[in-house]
Amino acid sequence: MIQALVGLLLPIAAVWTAFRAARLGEAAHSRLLTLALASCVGIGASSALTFTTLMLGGRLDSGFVVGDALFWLAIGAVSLWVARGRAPFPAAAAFPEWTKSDRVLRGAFVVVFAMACAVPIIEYTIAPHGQWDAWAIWNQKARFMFRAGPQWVDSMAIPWSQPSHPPLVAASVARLWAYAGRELTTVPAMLSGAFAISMLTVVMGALDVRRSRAWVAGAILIAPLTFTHLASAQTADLPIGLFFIATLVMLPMRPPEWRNGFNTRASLLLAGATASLAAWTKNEGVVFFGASTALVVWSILRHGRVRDLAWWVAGATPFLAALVWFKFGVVPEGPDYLEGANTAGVILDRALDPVRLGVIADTLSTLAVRWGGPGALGSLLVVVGLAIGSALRPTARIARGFLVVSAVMVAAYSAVYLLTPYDVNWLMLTTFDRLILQQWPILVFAACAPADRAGTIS
Amino acid sequence: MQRYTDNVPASWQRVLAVIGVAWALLAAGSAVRASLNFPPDPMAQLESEFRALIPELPPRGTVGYLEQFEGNGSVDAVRVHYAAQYALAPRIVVGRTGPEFVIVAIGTERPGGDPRLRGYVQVARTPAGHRVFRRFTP
Repeated sequence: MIQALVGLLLPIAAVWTAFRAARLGEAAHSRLLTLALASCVGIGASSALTFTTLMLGGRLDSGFVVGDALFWLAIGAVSLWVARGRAPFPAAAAFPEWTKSDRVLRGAFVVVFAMACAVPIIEYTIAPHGQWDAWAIWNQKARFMFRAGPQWVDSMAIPWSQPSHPPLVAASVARLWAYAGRELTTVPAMLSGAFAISMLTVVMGALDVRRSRAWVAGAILIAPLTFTHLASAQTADLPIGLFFIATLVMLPMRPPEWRNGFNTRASLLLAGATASLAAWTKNEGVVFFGASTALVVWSILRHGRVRDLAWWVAGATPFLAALVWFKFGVVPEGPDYLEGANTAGVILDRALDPVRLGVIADTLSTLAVRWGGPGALGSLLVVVGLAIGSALRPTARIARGFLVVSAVMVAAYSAVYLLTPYDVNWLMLTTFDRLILQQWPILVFAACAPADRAGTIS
Repeated sequence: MQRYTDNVPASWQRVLAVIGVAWALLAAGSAVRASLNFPPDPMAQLESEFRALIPELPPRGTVGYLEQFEGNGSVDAVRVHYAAQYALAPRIVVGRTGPEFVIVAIGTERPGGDPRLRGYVQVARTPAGHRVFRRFTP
C-alpha cells in the first residue's frame, strides 16, 4: 500500500514543482488550488503515460514502475533546478484573526468533514471492490491492463464494460497496482478518496479559505450521502466532476491586472489541461470540453486576445491526443446508450414520444427531490435556486458562466434520456445521481461565489 | 475586503451560512447512519469463489458461461455473471456455451440435465460449488 501511495504522490509532487518552475501556480493565486490542480494534472498525465506504455506493447511490471518513477523524479529534479533560489510560491496573504463565529464555523466544518470521511471507510468495509460500475467497468478494465498488458484491449469485447469511455480511471488504478505489485482493493478506494479531497480543495481554495464562504461551501459540498456514497464508489463520476470544477474555477480567477498578462495565459493553459482531462475520463467530458471551449472563445474574442487561445489549445493537446489515439485505435464502436439514434426519423420518434416524455418528467421530479439522500432531501433544488439567484445579480458573471456550461451538460444528459434505446426509467434511476454529482460542485460554487468585481469572464 | 455578495446584507449572509452549516451537519450525520445500514455486498464473496477457477482455465481467450436456465435477466443472475468476468479477467466470459471451457455457476444448470451442456464433461468444481465443463470434441 505504501508503494501505491508513493506512486500516487510522485506525479503530483513532480507536477507541483513543474508548476513552480513555470510560475503556473501564480495563476491560481491559492496554494490549495495549485495543489489540487497539480493532483489533477499529475494523475491525468500519469494515466496517459500508462496508456501509452500499454499501447506501445509494454506491460505494467517492475520495469514499468522503475521507468515511471524515474520519469517523475526527473521532472521534479529538473523543475527544482529551474526554480532554484525562487520562493516556492508567492506569499499568501495572512489569515485574518479568527472571531468566535469563525471558530464555530470551522469547527462545524471539521465535524462534517469527519463524518464525510467515515462514510467511505464504512462502505469500504462492506464493499471493498466498490459499487456495481466499479467492478463491471473501471476496476475490471484496470485488471485487464494489469494482468494482460497490451492485450488489455480484449476488454473492449465486453459489452457492459462501456468500451467507449476513456481510460483515465482504469489506467490510474492499474498503474498504482503496478506500484503495489498486486491488486489491492485499497488502491481504487484510495484513488477515489484523492479525487474527493481534490474536489473539496478546488472548491474551498478557489473560494479562498480565509473567507467564511469557503468553509460553508465545503461543508455543503461533502455533506450529502450522494457525494460520500459516490466517493466510495470507485467510479469515474467524481473525477470528471473534479475536472469540470477545476476548469471553471481557473477560467475566472483573473483579477483585472492579470487580464492581459502571463497569469491569464497560465490560467488558460491549466484550464485547457483540466478540460481535456474531463474528456479523457468519460464521454460526457467531450461535451464539457466543447462547452468550456466555446466559453473561452467567447471571452477571448470579446477582449480581442485571439492569440491567447493558443494557451488553451496547448494545455489541452496532450490529453486530446491520447483521447484520439484511444478512440481511433482501441474503441470498436460508439456508446451503446445512443444506439440506433442515427437518422432524423428515429431521433424525432424517440424525442417526441409522449410516453417517454411522461416517464422522464415523472422520474425527474422524483429524483430531483430525493437527490442527496436521507437528511438532504431537496438540497439539489435549494442549491440550484441559490445558484440561479446568485447568477442573476448584475455583477455575477462568474456564476453565470458556470451555470451556462452546467446547463449545456444537463442538456446533453437530457438528450441521452430522450434518445436512448434502453428503458428510460431504468436509465434515469441508475444514472441520475451520478450525473448530478458531476454538476454538484459547480452548483455549490456558483451558489457561494462572490460577486464579480474582479473582471473575470466578461 | 471583498464582500460575499454585493446585494445581500451581511446579517442575511450570516443567517444563510448558519442554515447551510446546520443542514450540512444534519445531512452528514444522516449519511453516516444510512451507510451503517447498507446491506452486505456479495461481490467480494463471489469474486473470491470464481478466482478459485483460474487454475482450471486457459490464461486468456474466450470462456463460456452457462446463463441461468430461468430468470436470467434478474439483477442477481447478472451480478453473478459479471462477477465471473471480473474475477477471471483477462479471459472473456461470454454468456453462452460453445467455447472449449464453460463455467457453470451454482444454480444456473437446468435440474435433471441441461441440454446446453451436451458434449461437455465436468473437469473441476470449487468448494463453493461453481464448476468448469470442457468440450473435448470439436
